[in-house]
Amino acid sequence: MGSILLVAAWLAIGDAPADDAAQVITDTPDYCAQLRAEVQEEMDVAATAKPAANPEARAPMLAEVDSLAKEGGRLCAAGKVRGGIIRLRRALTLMHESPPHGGE
Amino acid sequence: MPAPPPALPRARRIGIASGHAGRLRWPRGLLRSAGLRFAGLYAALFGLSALALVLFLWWDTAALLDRQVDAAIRADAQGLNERWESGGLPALILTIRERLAENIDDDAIYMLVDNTGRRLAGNLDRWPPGITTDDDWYEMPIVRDRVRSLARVHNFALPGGFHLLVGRDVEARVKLRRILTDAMLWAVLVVAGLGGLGAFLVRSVLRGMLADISRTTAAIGAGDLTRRVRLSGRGDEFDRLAETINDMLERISRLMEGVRAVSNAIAHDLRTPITRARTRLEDALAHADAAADLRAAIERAEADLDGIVAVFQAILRIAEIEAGARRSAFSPFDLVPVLGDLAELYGAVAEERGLTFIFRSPAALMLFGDRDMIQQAVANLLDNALKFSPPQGEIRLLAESQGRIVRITVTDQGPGIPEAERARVTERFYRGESARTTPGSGLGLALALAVAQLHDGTLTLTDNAPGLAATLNLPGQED
Ligand SMILES: Nc1ncnc2c1ncn2[C@@H]1O[C@H](COP(=O)(O)OP(=O)(O)OP(=O)(O)O)[C@@H](O)[C@H]1O
Ligand SMILES: [Mg+2]
Repeated sequence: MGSILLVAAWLAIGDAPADDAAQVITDTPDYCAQLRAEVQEEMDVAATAKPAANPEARAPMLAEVDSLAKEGGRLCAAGKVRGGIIRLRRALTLMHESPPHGGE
Repeated sequence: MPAPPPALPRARRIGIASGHAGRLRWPRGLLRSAGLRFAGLYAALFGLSALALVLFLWWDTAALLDRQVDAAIRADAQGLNERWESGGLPALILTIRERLAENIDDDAIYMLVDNTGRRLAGNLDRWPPGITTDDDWYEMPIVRDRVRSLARVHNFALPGGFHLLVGRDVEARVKLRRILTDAMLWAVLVVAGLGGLGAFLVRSVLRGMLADISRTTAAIGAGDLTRRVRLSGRGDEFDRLAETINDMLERISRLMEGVRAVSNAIAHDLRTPITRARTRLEDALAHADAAADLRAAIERAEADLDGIVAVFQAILRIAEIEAGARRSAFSPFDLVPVLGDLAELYGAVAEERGLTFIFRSPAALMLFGDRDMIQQAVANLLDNALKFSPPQGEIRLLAESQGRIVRITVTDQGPGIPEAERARVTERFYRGESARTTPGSGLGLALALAVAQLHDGTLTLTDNAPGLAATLNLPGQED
């Protein structure tokens, strides 16, 4: 029985606090704001640029990016930073997957 | 008056006990219970196999996750390296930013520093302590959003003193570890619970099964030899044990009975001849004047003592037979020549007394047993027949085999034995009323019966109308 408890303790060791651990800085409200600005910038560029070969295909994509970005911003403001960041990242990925000039 | 030593504070005592689990003070009865030991063994085995399973799961799944993470990190690093080679530092920094911005899985870790340790790109607040060796794998704790997690990273050295960390958050492994830990703790609880329940059940079952045996043996230990263990009728190991014990008790009480009978008989039946011999010697000492008278008295006493010795020998022989010690002398032999010799001997005596003697047997009768013993038994039957035959009577010695049974019958035409007495005449020293006037000590039939039983046979006494028919039924030899 003692050995089982020992092993259990060993498995749980990962949860012990360690204060000198490096912090991930892409989980912060700052980074969220930065991403939000990036998305906005790219959306502005896309809106002012001359519509390319297939504007009909890009319109729904832009709408989705817009809604994702807004939702992300809202979540970050509400304190759900990681959820907000994930939505913003998705928005960015979506924009990059279909470049404005269909250059793939 | 010295004060008793103060008792240890309770908390400390418990602390000591749990520090040395082996010396825990269990209630004595519990530790001594075989059922509890079985259950403990069972629980330990169960616990060990649960532990082995959890460890196997852990190594297997953790290794798989690690392989996947390593492959992802390598591919990632390869791409970054290409950018570094084609576009230099600015391209690398830009790519890291882009990748972080598009990292939907939210698990990427990057850190690019120059030769002074200044961060150029990446998402760690500082270079993690302990990461010193170039081109090596590390596993390190990180803090994400104030929650601890685990990261697996590779440290790449770039030309110009730059260092790049590429890694992944392997929180999945932390979660897996937590799940397995939980499972293990639950398993421990279940094992403890089941073990306890099992211990209780096994203990009460064993108790129930052994209770009757121990009650019986305790009663016998206290002197009640008539007690027997009750059989459950299930025919299991406990029933077999009970049967063995009962057989043993049966045999012990038979032997005890035999010993008691013999000592009673000796006390009663040998006292008479010994007293008689003593009286004769006393008488001669007091009254015999001539040397010839004395000599005659001594000779009579000598004859008396010889008779007593013969009786002792017969008793010892019967005891020896009943103990089964002679079975090792068993061998196959033909009964017919043995009976032939007896017929010759007793036929001559019968003729002398004017009796008719008839002997009939097949050509051969194979038996497995003790030749001398069987000869002695038949001789005893013939001796009785001669002794109790009326003048001109007829004595028969018949041998036959019926199936696997060999029968030796001796008949006479004497007074016979009344029905009521037949069971008793085979007891040691028992002599019938009609035999008071004939010589003998009442051991002949007892010995014949003992021989029959030694050979797994029987001795039957039936009415020959007139006279007695005594039959030895012995199992013949298998061929
Ligand atoms: N053939 C017989 N006819 C009548 N009674 C018999 C016969 N054989 C045995 N008995 C009775 O059985 C009793 C026991 O017989 P058993 O042979 O054991 O003793 P015994 O003949 O008296 O003495 P021993 O054989 O020791 O010289 C006899 O005393 C007698 O009463
Ligand atoms: Mg006799």
